[in-house]
Amino acid sequence: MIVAQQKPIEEIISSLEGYKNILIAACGTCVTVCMAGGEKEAMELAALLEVKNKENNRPVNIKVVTLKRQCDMEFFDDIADDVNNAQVILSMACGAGVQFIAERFSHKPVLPGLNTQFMGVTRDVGVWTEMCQGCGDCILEKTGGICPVTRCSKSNFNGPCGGSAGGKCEISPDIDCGWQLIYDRLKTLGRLDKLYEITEVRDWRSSRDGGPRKVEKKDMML
Amino acid sequence: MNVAVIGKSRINPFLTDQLKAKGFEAVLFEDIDSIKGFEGQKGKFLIKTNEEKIEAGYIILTQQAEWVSPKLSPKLACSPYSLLDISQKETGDFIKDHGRPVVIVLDYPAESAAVMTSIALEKGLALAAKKKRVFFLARFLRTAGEKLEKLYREARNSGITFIKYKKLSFDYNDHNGICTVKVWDDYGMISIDTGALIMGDSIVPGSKIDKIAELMRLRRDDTGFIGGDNTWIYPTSTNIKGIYVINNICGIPLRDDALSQIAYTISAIKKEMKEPASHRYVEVDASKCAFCYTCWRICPHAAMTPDFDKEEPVMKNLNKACNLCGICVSLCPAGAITITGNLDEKLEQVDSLSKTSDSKTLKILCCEKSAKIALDKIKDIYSRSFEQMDVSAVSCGGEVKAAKIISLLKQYEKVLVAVCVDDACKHFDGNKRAYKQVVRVCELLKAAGLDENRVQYIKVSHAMPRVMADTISEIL
Repeated sequence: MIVAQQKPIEEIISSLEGYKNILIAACGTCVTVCMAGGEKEAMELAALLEVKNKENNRPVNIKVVTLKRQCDMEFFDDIADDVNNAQVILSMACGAGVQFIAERFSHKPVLPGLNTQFMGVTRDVGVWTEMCQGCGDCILEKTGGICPVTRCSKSNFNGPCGGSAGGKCEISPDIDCGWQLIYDRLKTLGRLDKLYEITEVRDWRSSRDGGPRKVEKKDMML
Repeated sequence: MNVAVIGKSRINPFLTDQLKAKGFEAVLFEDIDSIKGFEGQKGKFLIKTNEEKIEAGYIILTQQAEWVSPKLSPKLACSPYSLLDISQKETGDFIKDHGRPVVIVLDYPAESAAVMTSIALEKGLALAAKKKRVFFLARFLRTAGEKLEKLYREARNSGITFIKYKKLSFDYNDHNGICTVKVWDDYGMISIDTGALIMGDSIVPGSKIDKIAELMRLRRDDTGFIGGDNTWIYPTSTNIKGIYVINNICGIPLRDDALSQIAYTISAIKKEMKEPASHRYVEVDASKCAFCYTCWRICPHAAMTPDFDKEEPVMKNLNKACNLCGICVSLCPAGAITITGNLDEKLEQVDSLSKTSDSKTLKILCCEKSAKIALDKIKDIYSRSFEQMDVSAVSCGGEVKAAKIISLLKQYEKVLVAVCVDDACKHFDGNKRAYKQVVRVCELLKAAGLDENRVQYIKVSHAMPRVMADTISEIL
C-alpha cells in the first residue's frame, strides 16, 4: 500500500494560518493502515487545533470527514456541502488523493497534511518499509522476488557494488544490501543460475522517467 | 464439556482422571505436532489435526518445560550429577567417596525455581538423615511458601551447611577422582573436596512451546515460558481466557506442586464456566474497518479475529475472550471500534468532590485497578486539592485516546494520566500504550507551540497513595 507520514505539525499549523473554517478530510484506506491520515490522526489534529485556537482566542470552526478513499471521484459526492461551508480543505490523503480532491473542488484551496513516502508493506505494528517504486517493468522473476530497483540503493541490476559488506548497504547499517538479499533468496530457491543471466540496460521510459503515466484497460472502455 | 489436554507429560493420566471425576470429557493431544490449526474462544475452541476437527471448551497445556542436565566446563573431566536424575535414585548410591562431603549446588542467575529448590532440600535432608555431611550452595535461595520454608528450617536443623555464594570454581583431580569446589561469599573463600557434586538442572521452555504458543497466540515472558511474571496471571493462567498451562517439568514423577496446579486449574475452569456474560461488549463498525490487522496484533488477549463470512472481510471481537481493556478502541487507526458503555460515557460520570460547578484545574484519568484505589485512599486527607480536580476511572490506561486527552485541554488546564506499574497491568501493555499516547500528545503540544507540561503521566500501584498525593500537589 501507499505509505505516508504526517507532515510536521508546525508546517500544517502555519499553512492553515488565517483560515476560520477548516475541513479536514481523512482517508480510510492506505493512510489509515499506515497510521498517518486516518480518522484517528485527523481527530487528534482537530483537537490540537481547537486547543491552540482557544489559547489564542481565535474562534475557528473545524470539521472532520473521513472518506473511504480519495482516489475515486464518487467518494467526494457526500462531502460537497461540507466543502462549500469551508474556506480550506486539509486533505490527509496521499499525494494522489490530495490532488484528486483539489481537482474536484478546484475553487477551494486544498492543503496536504501528509508527506507521501513510498509503496510498501507493514513489517510490525508501527513499522513500514519501501518495497516498490513503480518502475513499470517488473523483473522480480529474475531476482527471486526481491526488487533491485527499490531494495538496492543504487538500483544496480547485475549484482552488488563494492560497498556491500556484512550484508549491509554502505549507505547505512540499517539498510540491508538488496543484492545480498537477492543472492540469499536465489540460493534458497536453488536458482543461483539466474545470476548468470545478465539484465541489459533498461529503457526507463516505462518508469516516471518517461513522463506522467496513464494506464488504460481497453476491454473496460466503451 | 470437552477439555483438551495438549502435550506429552507424566501428569496426563492423572489430569485426565481428575477431569473425568469433575464431570469433564478429556480429549488428549499428546503429539503437539499433530495440531495444524486452531481457532475460537473459551467455551468453544476448535482444534484441527490432519484427520479431524475437535471442539473443546477449555484447553490445558502440559508440556511447558523440559530440563537440561547441568554441565561444567568441557575442560574438566568431572561432570556433576543432575539433581533431577539423583532425586530418583537411592540416597547414597551415587556417592564416590563416602568420607567426603556431598555438595549440592543451585547455580541460577535469579531465584531458584521452587520445584528445583524443594527437590534439592529433600535430597539434602535424606543425605543428612544417613549421616552424610552436606554443603548446600546457592546464589539465591527461594524459600517462599509454607512448604519450602518448612523444608528449609528442617534442613538447617539437620546440620546442612548453607552458603549463599558470589562465585564458584571447580577443579578435578584425575588421580583420585576428587572434585574440588571453591566457594566465595562476602566473607571469604572456602575449598571443599567432594565425594559427589550434585547440581540443579536448568528448566527451559520445552521444544514444542514455540509452535503451540504461536498457533494459539499465547503470551510468553522474558524467559520464554507461557504465562509469566505478571501479578494478574494466576498460577496456571495465560493471557487467553480458557487456556491454561500446567508448569510441569516433563519427565519427572508427579509432585505436590503439579498436583496442586491440576486442582487449581480444574477449579479455575469451573469458575470460568460460571462467569456471567458482560453487558458491555466490543463492536467493530464494518464500514470503517480497514482490515489492517492492527487490533488483531495489539490485543493482549487475542480477542480479535478476522470475519471472512461478511461481504467484505472485517475484524470481529470474540466476546468471551475479550477483557474489555479498550486498547483496540484507542488505537484502531480507523476509529472503527467502540465499547458500549465506552470511555466517552465514562468520562461524563465524573467523580467530583467540589460542590460548585466552577471549571476545574486538573483532570485525572486513572486506572480503576491501581491509581483510582490509591486516590480514594487520600480523598479525605487532601479534600482541598480534590476541589480543584475531576477524576475519571478507566478500565485500563490503554483505553485512553490521544485525541481525547487533547480535547480535555479545552476544559482543563492540566491532565494527568495515572496507570499501573509494569508487570502489574492486567492487560500487560495497557500502561505502556498509555505512556506512548501521552508522549505523542506532548510532542503535538510542543510542536503546536503549547505547553507540553499540561499533560503528565505517572505509574502507581493501589498501595501508593502517597505518591499520588505528591504528584497531584506538584501539578496543582
